[in-house]
Amino acid sequence: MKLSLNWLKDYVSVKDSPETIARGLTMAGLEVKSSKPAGPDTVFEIEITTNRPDWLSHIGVAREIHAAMGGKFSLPPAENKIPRTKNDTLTVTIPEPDRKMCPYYSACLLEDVEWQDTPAFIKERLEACGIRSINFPVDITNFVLLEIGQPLHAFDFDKLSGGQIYARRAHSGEKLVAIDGKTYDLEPADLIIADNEKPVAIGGVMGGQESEVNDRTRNILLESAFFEPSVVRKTSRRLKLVSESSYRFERRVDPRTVDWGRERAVYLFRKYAKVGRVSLVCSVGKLPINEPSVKFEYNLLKKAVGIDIPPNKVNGYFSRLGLKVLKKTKTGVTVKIPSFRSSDLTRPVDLVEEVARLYGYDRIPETLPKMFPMKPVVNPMLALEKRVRTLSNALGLFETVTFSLVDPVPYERLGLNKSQWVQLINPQNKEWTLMRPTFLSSMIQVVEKNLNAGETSIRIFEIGNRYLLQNPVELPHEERMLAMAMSGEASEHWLEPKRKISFYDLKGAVEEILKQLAIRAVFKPIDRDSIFESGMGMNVEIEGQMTGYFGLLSKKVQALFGIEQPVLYAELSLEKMVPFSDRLRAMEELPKFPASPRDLTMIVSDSVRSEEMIEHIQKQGGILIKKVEVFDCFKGKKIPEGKKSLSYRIIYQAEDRTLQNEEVNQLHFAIVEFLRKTCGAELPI
Amino acid sequence: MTDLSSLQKEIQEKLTQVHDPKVLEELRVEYLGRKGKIADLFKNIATLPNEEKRQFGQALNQLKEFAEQAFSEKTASLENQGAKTDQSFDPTLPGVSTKLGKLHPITRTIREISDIFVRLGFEVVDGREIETEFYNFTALNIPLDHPSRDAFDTFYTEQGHLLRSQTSTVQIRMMQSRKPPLRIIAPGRVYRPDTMDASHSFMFHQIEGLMVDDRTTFSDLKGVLHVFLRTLFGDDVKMRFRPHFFPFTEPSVEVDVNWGKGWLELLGAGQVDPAVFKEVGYHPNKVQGFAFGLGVERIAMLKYGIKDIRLFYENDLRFLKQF
Repeated sequence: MKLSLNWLKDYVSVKDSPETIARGLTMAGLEVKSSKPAGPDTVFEIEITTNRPDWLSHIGVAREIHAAMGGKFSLPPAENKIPRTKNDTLTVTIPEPDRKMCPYYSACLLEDVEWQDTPAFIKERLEACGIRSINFPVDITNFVLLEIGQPLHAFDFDKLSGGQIYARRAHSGEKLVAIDGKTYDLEPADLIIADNEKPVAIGGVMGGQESEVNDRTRNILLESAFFEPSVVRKTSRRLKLVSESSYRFERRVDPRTVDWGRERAVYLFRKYAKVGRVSLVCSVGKLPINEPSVKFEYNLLKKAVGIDIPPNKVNGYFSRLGLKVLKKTKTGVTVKIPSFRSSDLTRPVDLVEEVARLYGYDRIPETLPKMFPMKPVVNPMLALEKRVRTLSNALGLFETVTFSLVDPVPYERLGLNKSQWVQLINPQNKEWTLMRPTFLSSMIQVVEKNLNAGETSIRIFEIGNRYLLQNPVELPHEERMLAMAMSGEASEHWLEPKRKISFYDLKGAVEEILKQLAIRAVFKPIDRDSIFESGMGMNVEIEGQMTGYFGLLSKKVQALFGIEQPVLYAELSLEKMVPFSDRLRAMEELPKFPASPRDLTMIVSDSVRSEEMIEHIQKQGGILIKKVEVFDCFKGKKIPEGKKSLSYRIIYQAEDRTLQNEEVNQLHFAIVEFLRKTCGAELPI
Repeated sequence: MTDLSSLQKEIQEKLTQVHDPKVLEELRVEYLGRKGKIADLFKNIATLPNEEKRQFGQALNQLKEFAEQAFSEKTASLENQGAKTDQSFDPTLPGVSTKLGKLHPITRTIREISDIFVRLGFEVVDGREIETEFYNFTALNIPLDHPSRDAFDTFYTEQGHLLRSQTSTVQIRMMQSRKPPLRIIAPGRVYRPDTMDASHSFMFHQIEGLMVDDRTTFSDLKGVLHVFLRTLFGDDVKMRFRPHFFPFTEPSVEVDVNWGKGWLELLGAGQVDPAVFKEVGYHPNKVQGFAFGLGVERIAMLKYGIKDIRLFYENDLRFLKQF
């Protein structure tokens, strides 16, 4: 909101520089965002918090300057002797059921008004505050709005039909062309002002074009009313129509300014124009004036803020704020809250803030709290997250942060099950409507963007939630996930031969993380219906529970996202890993007898799985086999088509004795024999 | 009588001219060998008159020691040279190691902030992102159809839930599930339907702090926040408390910081409003304390000089590798 400093000075005598006043207001909670000189005047751009509608006028802010910085505060003159009309010029009705929407409505008739141009000082002030001068009557209503904070509306009385005015709920289907030239469809939740035939204004929001005051208007009906804030707010939001008037009404206009605003306007009309006759046509309903009293104990300041302020000083702040002392005791004071503060000062704690604010937040000392010792608690999920982040970094993965909201279209095309989706009804953008059920698209997009930026080797991970609907009533399940993606060159440095990142790089990363967390997991090949290339995806199971998956994304997925390079992708549920991670384990005794390593290379058909081979080796070798490791897998020149050479290092070791060569050799040959039979494996020639 | 000092000079001169270990060995034999020049001189001692024997013997021993020392130094120096530099080895090639990844600057910032508060005795807790109106508004003293909701424009889901617009929701959940005293901080994602630009994003991160017991004052809030800011930004940072309005705190404050670049708005805070205590079933006269909320992106932008908030979510590796 824009305020003119010269205008403010009409009501409060301050001699400080504009900068000092701006700082004083800011430190009182009325943030001056900018202060710009405008000729002899200075214009403040002020941010007004929603708890202080009384600041939405020059008089309100002048009162605050008086409270925060001193100076004499005075109010402008008004015409407080407007006679009530005698004849039945007009009847005004608020139907009983609609009184909650409009508790009070008054109208004042100004007849035979003859005006010239708006006085220059009024024009200048309106313009300083960003309001265009329209014509004399409208300028006066705007002037009063900015001066006192009371929105008024001027109708061309001769355009109203039937001698009847209603402040009532709109009927379905009613429409109004407002002064902005747009047609608004009205609903029963809206309060309107209507004549005998039709709506003439949207109550508290905007007047109608037809009854608008223009240069030919001679008889003016001046409306001053109290509209229920929530009603104005709902209508204004639904119609997406915000006016100076609705902005104030929805924040609650002080009921005490309703009559005063009208009287001030009449005063100005009479002073700056020729007015034939003025009469108050009606005032219907009751103003919801509320001026509660609040009891305040001085020791509350020490208890809540930590400061001691002498009672007389506290009482001084109260009186500068316009709070009337009703009763004083040694320990406290009872004050009457003025109408303009009645909605934000209702409790002792509200007065604590007023005192602290005027005393100056800057002067309040800084202390460190006396803390209760507490049991140190570590959230297991957050602890796991931290571990996994460190591990992922150690595996060469960079952390990403992508949006939780994603575009559902690729997932629809992929044919993912939509039953668990959580979608927004008021998205900001068509691409961000679905709370992600998976990280797939987020991660692919990062890979793609980086490839396009010329990055050749991409390894990324993210930890965050996926969102799954359980049932329509309960809050959706938010599952903490780890997602990983890799693409491009694997070779990390010049000493190693160049190669591409492969399935085994991703598998290795998954295995390493699980191993470091001491989680035993089983990987099961996924056969079909997956995002992975057939035979190149695996599910991760922990104690029989499906915990995630990883693999090489299928060509179909690649095509869907328009990415040409192969991408490896993994997604694991951290939530499902938490109970199994880092469980306390007893150490294993170190072996007392030496190990006997033997290497074994065998040629097998391509379809033989390495894991089968290892299972067979262990089965045949039994308890004497400590460990079996693959150290080579080779296809090429010396190996026949459709076959591969697999090399294993087998560690033989007994717990109770040193194994003799002969025993190891026998066992080793038995294993070779067994593999020959079970897997069709052969020794290389 | 042989002149021992000229012999010493001779050895010195010859040694400086030697570059080949073989020549050096020949030279060593010539002087220090069993039949070398020095050995010969020792044999001569017997032929000397008695009164000269002692003096000459001493001088000769000195010469021998000198020669041995000189030869062993020369041998060592030739050996060092002689291990001929392998010119094919290039020590200027870069070192190799597993390339490590890095944390996202958002995570780094959250950690940095959390670590400070953990050291101050706070506990880090986790919270939901999809919430009900109760946790995001009602319990936080933000009434329906009230202009104070405007500051918290919110995304709604098809099921009538909402995406939390501030991490203050976690305050309510924690207070509902625990009794005071309470000292928590809760980092996480929040959502507001803002149009994306250099300083706005519809998703961003906040950290909520809450301390509740029977004595913590507004002065304590000032003390704790100042300690926090000094730890985060350095001891030179100035802090300013500016009155503000939040429905869930009373008194409320906006905290500005300044380290030579003018005042910058950094976080919102205040004493927990009694209405909030009432909602969670605490006795509003028996408990008190403070709450604060800060924007992670804003702090990261200030700390690292990042001008555009969108960089955080673009995840360009050239950006991520810098942190």
